[in-house]
Amino acid sequence: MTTAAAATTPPQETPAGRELPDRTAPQRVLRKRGSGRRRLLTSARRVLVPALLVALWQLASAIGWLDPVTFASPRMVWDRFVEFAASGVLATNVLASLLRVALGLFIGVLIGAFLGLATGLSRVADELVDPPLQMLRAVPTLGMMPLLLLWLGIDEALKVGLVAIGVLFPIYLNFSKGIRAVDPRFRELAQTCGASRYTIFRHVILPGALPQFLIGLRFSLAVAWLSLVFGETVAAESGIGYMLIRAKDFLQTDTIVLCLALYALLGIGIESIVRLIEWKTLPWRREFVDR
Amino acid sequence: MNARTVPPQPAPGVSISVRGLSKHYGSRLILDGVDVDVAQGEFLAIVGESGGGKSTLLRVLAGLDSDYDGDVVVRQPVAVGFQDARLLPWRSVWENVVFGLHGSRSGLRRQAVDVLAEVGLEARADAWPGTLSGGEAQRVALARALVRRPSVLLLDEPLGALDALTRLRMQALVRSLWRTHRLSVVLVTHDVDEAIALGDRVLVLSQGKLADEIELSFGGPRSREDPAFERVRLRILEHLGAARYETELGRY
Repeated sequence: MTTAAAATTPPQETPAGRELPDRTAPQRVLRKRGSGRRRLLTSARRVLVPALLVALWQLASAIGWLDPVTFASPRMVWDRFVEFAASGVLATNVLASLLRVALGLFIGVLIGAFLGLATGLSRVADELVDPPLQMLRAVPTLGMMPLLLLWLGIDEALKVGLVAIGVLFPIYLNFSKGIRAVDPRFRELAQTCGASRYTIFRHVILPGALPQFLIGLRFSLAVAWLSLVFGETVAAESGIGYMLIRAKDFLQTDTIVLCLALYALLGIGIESIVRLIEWKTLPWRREFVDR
Repeated sequence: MNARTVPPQPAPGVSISVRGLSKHYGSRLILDGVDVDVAQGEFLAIVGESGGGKSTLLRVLAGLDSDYDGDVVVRQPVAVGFQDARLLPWRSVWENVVFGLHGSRSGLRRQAVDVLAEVGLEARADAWPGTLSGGEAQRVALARALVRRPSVLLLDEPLGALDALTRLRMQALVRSLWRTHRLSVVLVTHDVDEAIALGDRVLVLSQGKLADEIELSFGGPRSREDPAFERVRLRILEHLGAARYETELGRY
């Protein structure tokens, strides 16, 4: 059912009391998801400000307001991009970073979701698990670095571990909160419908907690990139962070800006993947979210 | 779920039998030795002030609260309608109707659409609950109750949140469903007019005790113009300590 149809369908008549109109019919006019020209216009507005900023930046570089030694011009960054893309340096390093993020995310989400599930469903588990996790969360990752270096070495395990640790907390906190926030009246209803414990878990608790879980996933993706930059600047032989550190040593501001731009683009890309997941898994929310 | 896994069935012809039901919340006595009998096919309305224990009574009957004293026997299966329709927002209308039932998806869907037709909503079978109006949501909740072919239908202020017109329509619908399905209905409400309009018998619950029991011998459709209606109304309001306000403010 499309949103427009929902708003314009006349209220259904009951067999009894045919003459009375249904006064509680939805009055809000829901906009359709932008189609054709409107969607194009929306996308155009979205890229307008970033495009203007780049143009301004190029202008400032061209007339000498920006010193190319301290801040490369868009043109220089583009040239560097083309060069790296052609030589394969770009692909290698981006792939290395992506792999680390993916692996770290996988591990972190798995552990975080497990802990969130346990603490969300069981008060005892919450009392046992939450205090140590909150303590661990209060410790800055930077402060744990010496230990992590000892435990995980300076290779891949360190970077993946850093990402996983960063990802774990937002997933844990949000999933646990989401499960506990599921309206107890829904569980009660499920009882009166004769639903089994499994049915309640699968069809009431999990879908009820899913929106909050996805919020956690968004947070954890942001944290994942942050942790990765950190990890890759400590000790690495590949990855975007590695490119960044080397460029700093050689004062190549064009490469530095390129790396920053790559982080930004990858961040946006992953954000839109999460949006797609939300779109796919929360179809019942589509008619309210006009995006 | 419940401690009483296999509830005993009441005597033939009886749907609900409650003897000496008492219920405490801490030191507060919510229900104080309540006796209720509901015959098969009877429409019982229970009125009372808020906090008077009527919702608690219904929760006990629904098996949602097993921490009480006394004997409670309710003919199974029981279906419950709450004040909020309680549709799961992530399940479509028809999936909500058959929630908790087993069977093939197509079979369940057919079942759901059939019963949705009874409440006049078969066209919205695939809609999301969030797109329904308050009255439509309550009709889906009624369909969800009916699809279980209950002997007993327990309604906890199911019309309380609706506007006056939708409410009248829903009252007519509830009464016609009760008649066609030959259900025993227990309706809890704070609306005295609604209780008199729908019930065969009205119980007045005040401070945890049964204050009055009124057989409504005059037939339906009952109208407020009927002097008998007015007499019952004032008698109930007297119990609830509201008759005085009624005369001071006039009728509204």
